[in-house]
Amino acid sequence: MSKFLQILVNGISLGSIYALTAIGYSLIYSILQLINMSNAAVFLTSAVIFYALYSSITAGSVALTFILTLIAAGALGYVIEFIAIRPIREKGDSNTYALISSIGVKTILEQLCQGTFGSEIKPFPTLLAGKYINLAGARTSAIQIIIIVVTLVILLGMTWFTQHNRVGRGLRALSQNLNACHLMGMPVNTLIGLSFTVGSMLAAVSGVAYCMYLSSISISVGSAIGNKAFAATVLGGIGELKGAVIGGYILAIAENFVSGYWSMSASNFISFAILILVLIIKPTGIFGKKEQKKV
Amino acid sequence: MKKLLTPKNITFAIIMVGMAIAPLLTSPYSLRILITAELNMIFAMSLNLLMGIGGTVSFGHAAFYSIGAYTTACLWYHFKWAYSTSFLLVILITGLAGLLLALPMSRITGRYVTIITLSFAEIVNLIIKNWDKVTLGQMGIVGIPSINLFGFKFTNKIQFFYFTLIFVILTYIIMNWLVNSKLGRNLQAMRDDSIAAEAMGIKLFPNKVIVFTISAIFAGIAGSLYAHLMTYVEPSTFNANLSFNCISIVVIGGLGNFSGTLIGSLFLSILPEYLRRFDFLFKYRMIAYGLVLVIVMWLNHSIPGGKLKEAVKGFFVRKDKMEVA
Amino acid sequence: MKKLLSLLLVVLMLITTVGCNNGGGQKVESAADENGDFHIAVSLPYTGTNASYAEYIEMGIKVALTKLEREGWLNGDGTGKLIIDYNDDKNDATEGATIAEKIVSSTDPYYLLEIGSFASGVSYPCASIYRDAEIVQYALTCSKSDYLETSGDWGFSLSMTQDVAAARVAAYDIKHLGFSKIALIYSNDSWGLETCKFYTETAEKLGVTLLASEKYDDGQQDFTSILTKIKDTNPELVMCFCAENDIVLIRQQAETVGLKCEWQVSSKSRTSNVLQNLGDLGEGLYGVYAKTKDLTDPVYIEYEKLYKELYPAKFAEDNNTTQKYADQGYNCMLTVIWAIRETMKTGTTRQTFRDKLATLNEFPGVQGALTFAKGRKILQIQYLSRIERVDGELKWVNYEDLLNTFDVDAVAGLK
Repeated sequence: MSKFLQILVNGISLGSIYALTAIGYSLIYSILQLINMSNAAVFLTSAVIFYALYSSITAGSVALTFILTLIAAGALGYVIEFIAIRPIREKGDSNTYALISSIGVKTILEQLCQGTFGSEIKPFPTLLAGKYINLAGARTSAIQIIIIVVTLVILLGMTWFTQHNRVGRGLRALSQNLNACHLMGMPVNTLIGLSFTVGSMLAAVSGVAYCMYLSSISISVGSAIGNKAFAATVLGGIGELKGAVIGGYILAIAENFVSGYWSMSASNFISFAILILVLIIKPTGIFGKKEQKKV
Repeated sequence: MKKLLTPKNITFAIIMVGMAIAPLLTSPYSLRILITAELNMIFAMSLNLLMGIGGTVSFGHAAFYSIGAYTTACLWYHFKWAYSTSFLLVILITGLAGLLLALPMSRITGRYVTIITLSFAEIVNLIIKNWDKVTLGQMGIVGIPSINLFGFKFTNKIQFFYFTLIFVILTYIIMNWLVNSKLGRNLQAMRDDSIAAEAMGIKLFPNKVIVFTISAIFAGIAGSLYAHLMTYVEPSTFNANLSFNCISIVVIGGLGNFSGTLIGSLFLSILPEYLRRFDFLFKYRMIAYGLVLVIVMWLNHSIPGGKLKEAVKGFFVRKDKMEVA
Repeated sequence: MKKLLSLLLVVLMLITTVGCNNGGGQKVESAADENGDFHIAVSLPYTGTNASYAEYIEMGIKVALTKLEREGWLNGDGTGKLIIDYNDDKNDATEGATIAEKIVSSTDPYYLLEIGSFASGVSYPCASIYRDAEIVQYALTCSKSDYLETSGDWGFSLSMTQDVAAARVAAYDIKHLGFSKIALIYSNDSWGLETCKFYTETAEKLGVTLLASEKYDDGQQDFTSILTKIKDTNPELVMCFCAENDIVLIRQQAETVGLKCEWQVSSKSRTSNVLQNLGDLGEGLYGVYAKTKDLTDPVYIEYEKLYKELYPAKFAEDNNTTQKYADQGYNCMLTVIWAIRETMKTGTTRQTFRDKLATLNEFPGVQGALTFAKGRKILQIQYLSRIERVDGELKWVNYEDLLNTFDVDAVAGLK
């Protein structure tokens, strides 16, 4: 029983990381129909920025470092959109072009991180290290609980943001009809840039949280998360906040159980198998709405 | 005759003549780069059929490449089959794999195709990694011999180069023939407007299955040649980057433009080696590579001027663009 | 028009890439160029996740070159230089093979040998190219057991093959330390699979069946699920055949799930980096290692002095010691220099160089003697070691006296 609970707890904390990253993908995909490949690289870059700041300028203060990292990641997101996506978008070119461009950005960021950080693992500052709580036999570290709580808070915040905030509602409007928004005089470019900012900040939160959870950082942290988070987005239903979140939790928990009771290789297999199955049964994902075909 | 003398075909002819005389002039090093480019040509043309004509962006084309490579490698390892016989099974097995991937497509359309192909590639890679008895898993298959055609063994890379060149030419001809055939016209109609095409009596599903199968077969052939070129296969070679690289070639060369794909393949196969010339780039070679990708996309014009027309409408083109137009 | 221009651009790129690099590898009298200098090609992954290893190996090579330079190069009078060209293979098989073809076909410079690649996945496809061109491939880090066979007569490696290394670890664990409840974690790559196979075989020969053996794929970061699974089997010892980055994660996450037992790593991760990153968690971790860097050994003293002089920052960063891949690079260059010097009287060619290198016997390297036994198999002694607290500071301690009373090779069935 304790094994079962332990795996569940670990699955939920990993699921939180997937969910946070998945929202970033979902946000941008719903607006531009673009798989933003650079998101996984932002995940890594912000963790590296956090590490660099923490070990030099803001030594000691996790909160200050975190705020600076968020600002940097947000700015990075806007810049990526401005340089690599906007010129293509404004010419009205296919999103396949934007996709390749984002792959280019991903390569550049990853190589820069690797060049400045090196490829060795390094210890990452974590909160309340060595503190554990026993939840009915499942050993839960303080950072796991923090991650789960932070994820829930951000989810509530994002829900409020997209439902009640002017900017958030603007983003939702964009995802429904970009062209109409433009005609209505909405600042489409700024809003899209902002969606990249928000997506990058979410990636930064999950990147830093993940490294805190592992209490170490190496340049391969982003590689595995990228595809999984995107899979989670699609599994839940693209463009749906709750879809991305539920998708993230389903994948992470399923993976943990399969590797806990069977083998780790099978667990990677299972997440993609689940995805294909769900898409065959319900092509729009669990929460996705049916697309209207227009003639 | 006039029909044949299109600019695209002329470009194709120029490239092929250039390629055909290249081994006489250049060193084994450039020959190697050109062979890599040739494999990329076959591989990317097969993807271009799917993307440019079929309107389906596949993120997992490396799956077929790896299946092709592993089929011939395993047949040699377990049964000592020569290439001339294993070639038939390469076609059969990669064709079946394409068929398998096409089956869910009856229900899934548009954007979700991307993620299905991506997952398919991951699954294929995981199977290769973990099916130790057949593929030897991560140990890789060592010592795959050079190509053996009905007892005639290839002893040097120049023979390999010309053999692959024949495949490039065949692929180009077959692709162009397909585009102009009834299948190709159906596919283009489906790509441009699937509902209208259906209304005209074109059955979507069989056409999709056929295009997936054909595309998979050619990618598989490229993969099988790769296995014999490298004499060694291991699963980690066939990762997502291989698929991304292939998509980049197709987009740079122009969607639906097969002679453009040839130039794109040459460009992206030579580029990493070309960047080697600059010593200051030594550790930043891949950053420069990434920058080139962004800039080419930024310039909007794919290298050979194969500007994207209405090629992938309904899938990657923004809705507003379609409606305004 | 645009199409023609782009085609022209591509052709131009091709021509400039290849340059005047014409011709094939014809037989020559001496591998030295007109100045009497020798050229060596290096192919390592300078980009990608293994980049830092490439840099360490390069550092080792450069230390050896500095040593040689101060001795007045090969002839002692400033002539007979070694000129090294570094290439980046990105840890990618296709690029690695392309570079191999470049090295093999180059006549100006004419390369005496090639050093690299780092991973076996790149070394293997290149091995056949070097073998056919009859040029030495010094894949110093390749430990796959069939590498030497694949490379014909032309492959050399400084890493112990797994049939020896893993069997020794099992003998230490079971017969010396007396563990019988052992679980295994290994990386799903060719190295991990081989170590697992040989470890399990030896353990079974010694009468121990493993409780669990779990593999994980490259890039895995979260190990809690397999650790929970292993915890359920109550092992006394968890043996990890992993890269050094992974053992840090595994050991830390074992704390998270509360897995209490002894831990051991293979020689691959018995590094100062692991010691440094694990902190207090590392205490009691077993490892297997070559001879301790002996501070009285003149070879090591000279090496450390130069290393400190050239790379003071790296030296301090790595706990005031030399990094092990740098040591490998240095050892590799020492043996190369030795073989060139030995053959210079009669004329150094690729063939004579290879023949000489294969006879390497009891060569004084940085960490004990190096010998290429029959079939160019590298022989080196390995000791059990452990992280212990010495004067309040955690350190790797080698049990070197143990071999006097415990003949590990006999126990492991290697003799």
